[in-house]
Amino acid sequence: MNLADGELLVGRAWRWDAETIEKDIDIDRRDKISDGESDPPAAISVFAVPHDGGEISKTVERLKTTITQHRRARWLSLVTERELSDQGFTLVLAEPPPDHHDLVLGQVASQGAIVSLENVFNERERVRLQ
Amino acid sequence: MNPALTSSVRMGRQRSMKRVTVNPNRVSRKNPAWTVVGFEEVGEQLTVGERVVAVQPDPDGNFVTTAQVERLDADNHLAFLSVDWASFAVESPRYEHSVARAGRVRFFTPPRSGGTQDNVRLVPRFVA
Repeated sequence: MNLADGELLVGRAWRWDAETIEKDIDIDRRDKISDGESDPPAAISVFAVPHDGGEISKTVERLKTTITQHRRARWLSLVTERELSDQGFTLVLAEPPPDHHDLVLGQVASQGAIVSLENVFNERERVRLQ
Repeated sequence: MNPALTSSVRMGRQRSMKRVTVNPNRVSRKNPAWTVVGFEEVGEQLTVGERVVAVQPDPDGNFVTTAQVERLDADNHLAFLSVDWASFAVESPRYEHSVARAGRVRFFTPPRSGGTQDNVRLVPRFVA
């Protein structure tokens, strides 16, 4: 894994198949409309922490610690901010909770974009959380 | 109460609670401590204050804990849950709880269906 100084390391808990991502986009949108937003973009929730320039393994541990403070899951897929931006996805800080981001697919998510995001999560490193 | 008995009763109570699949990635904007599920994902009607079994399905054994329904949004068909994330554990397929004590093992087997806290049946078996 290549991670530049200050670049975000992103974690997505299992599952990350296209069907689950599509459902999460729908629920995320309805949640934001319920909270008062009028036309939120297509997005899913992720946690991400910036790489501080030291050992990448320490950034991975920091991300795992951040996530397990809020959630529990068996598996975590790790991707970099660059790997996501190369596919046209953007990260928007959406705290609280700390280090929570919206991973935005666009104003509307095409099926191609959803499959592309699934492939990003599938093809990258995964670690066991619990 | 005997801790083993307490645990068994708790599992029996869970057996009668509704099961709701939760996704650890979802964070509600209304309250970041909550997670959110669509009504269509539950299949049963929930009520505010109701306690449910939160499930993360897994082929290696479901990951389960308890959760409470905090809010319902009928307009957007959403239920907001506070999940006891720290207590997630692999679900025992037979709901058996064993306690090794003084060289023997005691098994408690809750009822297979329809059990409530009041009618949990404890079946002790002893193995030398």
